[in-house]
Parts: sequence; structure tokens; C-alpha cells
Amino acid sequence: MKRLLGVFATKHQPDATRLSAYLDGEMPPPERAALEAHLASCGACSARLSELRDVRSMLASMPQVAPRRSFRVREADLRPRAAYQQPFLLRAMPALSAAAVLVFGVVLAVDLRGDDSDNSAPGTAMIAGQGESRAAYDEAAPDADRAPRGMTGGDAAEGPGDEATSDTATPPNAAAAAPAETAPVPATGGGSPAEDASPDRDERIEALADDGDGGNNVALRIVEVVAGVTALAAAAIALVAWRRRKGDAAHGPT
Amino acid sequence: MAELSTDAAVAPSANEAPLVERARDGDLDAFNALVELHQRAVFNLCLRMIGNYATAEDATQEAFVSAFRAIRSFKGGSFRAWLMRIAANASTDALRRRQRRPALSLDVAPPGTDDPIDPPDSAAGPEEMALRADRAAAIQAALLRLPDDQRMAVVMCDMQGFAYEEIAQAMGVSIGTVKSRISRGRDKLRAILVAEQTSD
Repeated sequence: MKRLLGVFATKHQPDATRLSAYLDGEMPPPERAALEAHLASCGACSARLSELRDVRSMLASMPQVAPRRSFRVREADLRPRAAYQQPFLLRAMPALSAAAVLVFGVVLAVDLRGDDSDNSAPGTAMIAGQGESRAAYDEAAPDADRAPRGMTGGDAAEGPGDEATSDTATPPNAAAAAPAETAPVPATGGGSPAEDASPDRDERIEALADDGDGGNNVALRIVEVVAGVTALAAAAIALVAWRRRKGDAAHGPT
Repeated sequence: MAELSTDAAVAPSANEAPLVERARDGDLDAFNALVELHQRAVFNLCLRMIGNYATAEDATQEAFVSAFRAIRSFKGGSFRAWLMRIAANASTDALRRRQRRPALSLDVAPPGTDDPIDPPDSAAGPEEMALRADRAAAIQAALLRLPDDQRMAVVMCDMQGFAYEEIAQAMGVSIGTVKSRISRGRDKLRAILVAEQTSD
């Protein structure tokens, strides 16, 4: 039985915290007495206590180092330190970023507004062109069968179902050709606006207009990209500078 | 056996109370008298926490300046323990600054590899002096590998002789936590030194 208890005694884990407190004289007397009785029969705890004592002695043997100077506080030490100031360029980054965002917004608004007017103008020109073509057609061939609505300008959307009525419907080529064939009649009268309102001329005008607007759009796109990239880069730099300023405020700059 | 600092073994004296009161009223001379009493203990705590002599001097000066600025917040108890808390904070800040800007440390060796900060024992022979210097450097290097809270507890208890109650006040924790940190710090220190010995 004693041998069995002895095995348990050597197998249990010593409580290093209690042993440390005992070593430092920080244990109440009753607890101290109980531990001392235990140590008399416990090899593991005795060995552990010995290890802790060695460490404590080793540290206690380290000498106290005498300072080379006095640390008396002077009036000058109490004056507030000048706040660390980042370079002007870093401090200006937030303003630069805001300005770039503003430029980007203005240019984008101008670009979008320009796109809207571009989209409406060609439609108006095309409708005007079609109106002129139709007017010329009406003048040139007032007795010709009118093409069904939507058949002017080459809308040859005839399907198989339309074959039965194709004899009655005027083919678009014929309708388009009618004004051309009869055009010379009004031409003897000294020229009319209808003579100039040809689909080819309208298409040439539209093409010229597109070329001019496309050049402006490219310039605006470039400005937009530059302003956008500038805004993003300035914002990123401002964020890094702010975080660094915050860190220096907490720990003190060099 | 190397001598221990006398100001660490001396309990807070009754002479301090009037000086503390005058310092709380803004009397810089009274405060500096307290500085003279405690500067060695404060400096040694900073030195063992940081492991660099010059940085420890800066941290010690900063600690005393901060202490005078905050003297009105001292409400009683151990003035020495209150100073130690400020010194520990200053040491932690100094360590973080060194770690954040390692490029500035080119002229000083990293913690643990500095020139010996412990004075040589002039009474010993050259060989003994060299052995002791090596041993002191190894112990200081091992100390720097402990977590900050264990290092402070072990230094205050084993190197400066503070009682558990004062250590608890300095660290702002319970006595039970102090006991735990001291025992864990000692265990870890031992493990580090044994591992280094077996690897040599």
C-alpha cells in the first residue's frame, strides 16, 4: 500500500505556482506547513522546487547596474514637444484626391451630356432626311402608288405571306427609283430642295458629323482616365499617410 | 554573490510621503528628490526589459517625465510600484519603436546581442570574468525571449526583490496572476537556458 502511494506520490504533477509562492515566502503559514510535510515525501515536488530555486538564484545573482547619469527632470523636459509634421506633399494628398474626383465628375458629366446630344442629332438628321426624301417622292410621283408605311428608305421587309399582295405593293426599289426617274421634271423649274435631298448625301453628312464628335470623345475619355487614376492614387497615399501619422502619434516619431 | 540594489530592498519610507505631496503640488525639486531615491530601480527595470543600455536610459528619462506630468493621478499606495508601472509602459513603448524602425538600430545590436550591459566583476580573474560575462549575456538574452508580462514579474521579484503585492500594484493585476506569471516565467527561462546549453 505504501509502495502504491509512493508511486502516486512520484507520478503527480507538482504545482509550480504554489512552489514558487512557497519559495518567495508568499504562502500563509498553515499552507506552508502542509507543503513542507508533503515535500518531505515527494521526490517530484522536491525536484521541481530545486529547479525553481536555481532559476531564482541565478537571476538574483545578476548585478544591479548603476546608471551613468542622473534622471532628474528639468523644466525643459516638461515643455510640449513639437508635433511631427509630415512633408507638405503628403499633407496635400487629401485635397489633391478631392480635386481629382471633382475634375473626374465634371468631365464625366460633360462626356455623358455630349453622348446624349450626339444620339439625338443623328436621329433628327435621319428623320429630316427621310422627310425630305418623302417630300421629293411625293412631288416627283404624286400619282404613283404609295409604298406601304415603312417601305421608304429601303425597308424591304416583304415576307412569304406578302407574295399574294406583291403585285399590288410597290417594291421598294421601284418606289425609290420613282422619284429619281421623275426628278428631271421639277429640275427644269429651276431646282428644288428635293433635288439635293438624296439618301447618299444624308449619309455623307452623318458620317462627317460622327467623325468630329468621335475626336472629342477620345479626349474626354483620356481626361476621365487620368483624373480617375489620379484620384485613386492620391486617396491611397493619403490613407497610408494618415495611418502612419496615427501610429506616430501613439508611439512617438523618431 | 553580487549585491542587490539597496533601494529595491528598502520598503517605501515614511520620508517619501511629504515629498510626494509636494510633488503633487507641482514642486519639481521635491519630485527630483524622489527621482534620486528610485532612479536605480527604475533604470534597472528598463534595462532588463529592453536589453539595450542607451534605449533604457531614454526610457527611464521618459518614465520620470511622464510620472511628473501624471503625479496628480497617484492616489496612494506604493509610490515605487506606481513608478514601476510607468517605467514598464515606457519600456514597452521603446521596444515597439525599435521593432518598428529596425533601420535605426544599425549602430546598436539587436536585443540580446548587445555589448554586455552587466559590469565586469573586477575581483574575479580574467577567465572567470569572461565566463560570468557570457553567462550574464545568456541570461539577459533568455529574459528578452519571455513575454513582456512574465519578464516584468520575474525581474521585479527575483532581481529587484519586490513583494507580490507591490508587483500586483505595478502591473495592475491580482496577486494570483502575479504568482502565475512568476512561476511560468521561471519555467520558461529555465527551459530556454537548458535548450541553449544542450545545443552548444
